Amino acid sequence: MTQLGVSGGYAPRIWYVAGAGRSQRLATTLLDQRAPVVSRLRYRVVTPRSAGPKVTFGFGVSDEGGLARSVVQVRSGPAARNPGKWRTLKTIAHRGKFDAFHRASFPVRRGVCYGLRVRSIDVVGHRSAWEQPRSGGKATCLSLPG
Amino acid sequence: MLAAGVVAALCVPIASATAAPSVRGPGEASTAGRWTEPATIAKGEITEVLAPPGYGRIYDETRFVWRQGSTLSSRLLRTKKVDVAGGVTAAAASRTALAWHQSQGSGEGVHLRVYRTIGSSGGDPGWTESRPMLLPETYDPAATPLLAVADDISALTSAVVYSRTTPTGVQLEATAYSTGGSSTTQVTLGASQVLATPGGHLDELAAEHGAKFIAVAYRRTATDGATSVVLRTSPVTHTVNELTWGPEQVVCQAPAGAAAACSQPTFGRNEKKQVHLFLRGPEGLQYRTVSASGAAEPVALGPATGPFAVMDASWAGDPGRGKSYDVDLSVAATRGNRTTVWRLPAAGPVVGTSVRTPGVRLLALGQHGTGRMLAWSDGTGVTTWTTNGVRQSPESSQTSHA
Repeated sequence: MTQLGVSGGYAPRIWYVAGAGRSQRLATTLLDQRAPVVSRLRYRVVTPRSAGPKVTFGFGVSDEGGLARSVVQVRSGPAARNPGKWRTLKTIAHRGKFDAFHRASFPVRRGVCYGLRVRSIDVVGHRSAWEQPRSGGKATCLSLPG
Repeated sequence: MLAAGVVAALCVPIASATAAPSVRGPGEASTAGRWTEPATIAKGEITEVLAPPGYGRIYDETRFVWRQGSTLSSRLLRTKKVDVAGGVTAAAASRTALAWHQSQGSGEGVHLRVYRTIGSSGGDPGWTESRPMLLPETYDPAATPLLAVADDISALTSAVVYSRTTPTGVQLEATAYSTGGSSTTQVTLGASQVLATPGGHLDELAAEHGAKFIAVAYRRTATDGATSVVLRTSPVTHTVNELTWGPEQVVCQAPAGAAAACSQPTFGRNEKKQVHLFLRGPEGLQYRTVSASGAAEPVALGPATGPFAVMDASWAGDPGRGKSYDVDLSVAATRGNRTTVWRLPAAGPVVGTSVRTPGVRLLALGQHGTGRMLAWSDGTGVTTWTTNGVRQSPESSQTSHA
């Protein structure tokens, strides 16, 4: 190792030159201290003319060390009853991106309450908390009006 | 002869951290985080890495600039390499600018590029549209060119300092430049001025921008072997042709044959943009506060038999979390198997923390939230220390590197 430096602030990044001669390389690694942050989780219940009703949703996620994947889960059941078990709707691969925004949708039926939650995992395995649409501090039931 | 300030500095408390390294494996979790797998920025023989001048405002914005032989290259973490110039014999990166000596190719001379530091987005942000500029009309590079940039994000004049060979020897020159602000693409150059006339051997150079002045320090070795570090300062305004350099001030002198010569002038800047000049002198590591009128009396930080590193006061925003962190100007100096990290805030006492760093050969300082990160290498791997404890980076457990 012939050179060494530290840059960055909120998350320190080390760079160094290792090896010798033509096999030298300049490499960098970052101290990832925190789980990803899931933000801007938004949803809308829509009824397109050409198809059945659905929930469209989107969310943003970021992580200083890079994102591995996000998991979206849903559950459904009669309103004001046990809403059922969470099942994975989709897993999104981020391939090391630092920031991502994702949109998707799933079909819904009238008279059914749907739960939605998202969490992200970074490249070193930190897991964010499950993020859910909330209203007044409580998880919101996604359902068709009327 | 050291002055009264020395006593004050030696009396400050040194908190001894019991930093017995609890060695961890690659990627292993610690209470303070995990290291990501090392990403390769460049392969092949690396001549020098210039300190990344674009501190990451967003996660992937840290810019790497390095030289492989005579080729100067740059990239961000997530972009492809861009060759900036060929025929490069020396390069210097600062907060907002990149300068290089070019001895062949499209234009011989000293070139300067200024980074756009605000308002960039996407692609390869940071470069301004300004073209590289040929500074001296009669360029003749020195055998080992010296180069430094004293810059600031303010609209005040900055300066590039470079060596040039004349018929009577190597001299130092400075050229002021102004961008008129961080978002401007035009670079206005002033007339070049001679800072040090030929005589002896010039081999070390540093430059810094204070709130309203520029400071330049260089080491000269006389023909009889005596070494000295010389400081020159000039006030700055918004006008590039108003640099007025004060007289040479010798801030360190060592006779020929002295066990420790004067060496490694290094500037550091605190949160008030007050400038300190650190150097290794016959009595060890010392610093002086520098103003537009020159350097104050030296303050001793004690013997430093190994490497030392300086980190400017810094500020870092935390995207996505709405936080920001400030860190004091810091200096780390190694003596034997221990390294002391000193904090030098604009107000308040100088405080040192001692860390065990066996076998240290390379040393670097950085920010870790509101604290500091010390990184060191014994030549085979990297170990880091932060206020949260000691851990090893992934590289440290891999195959030994000579």
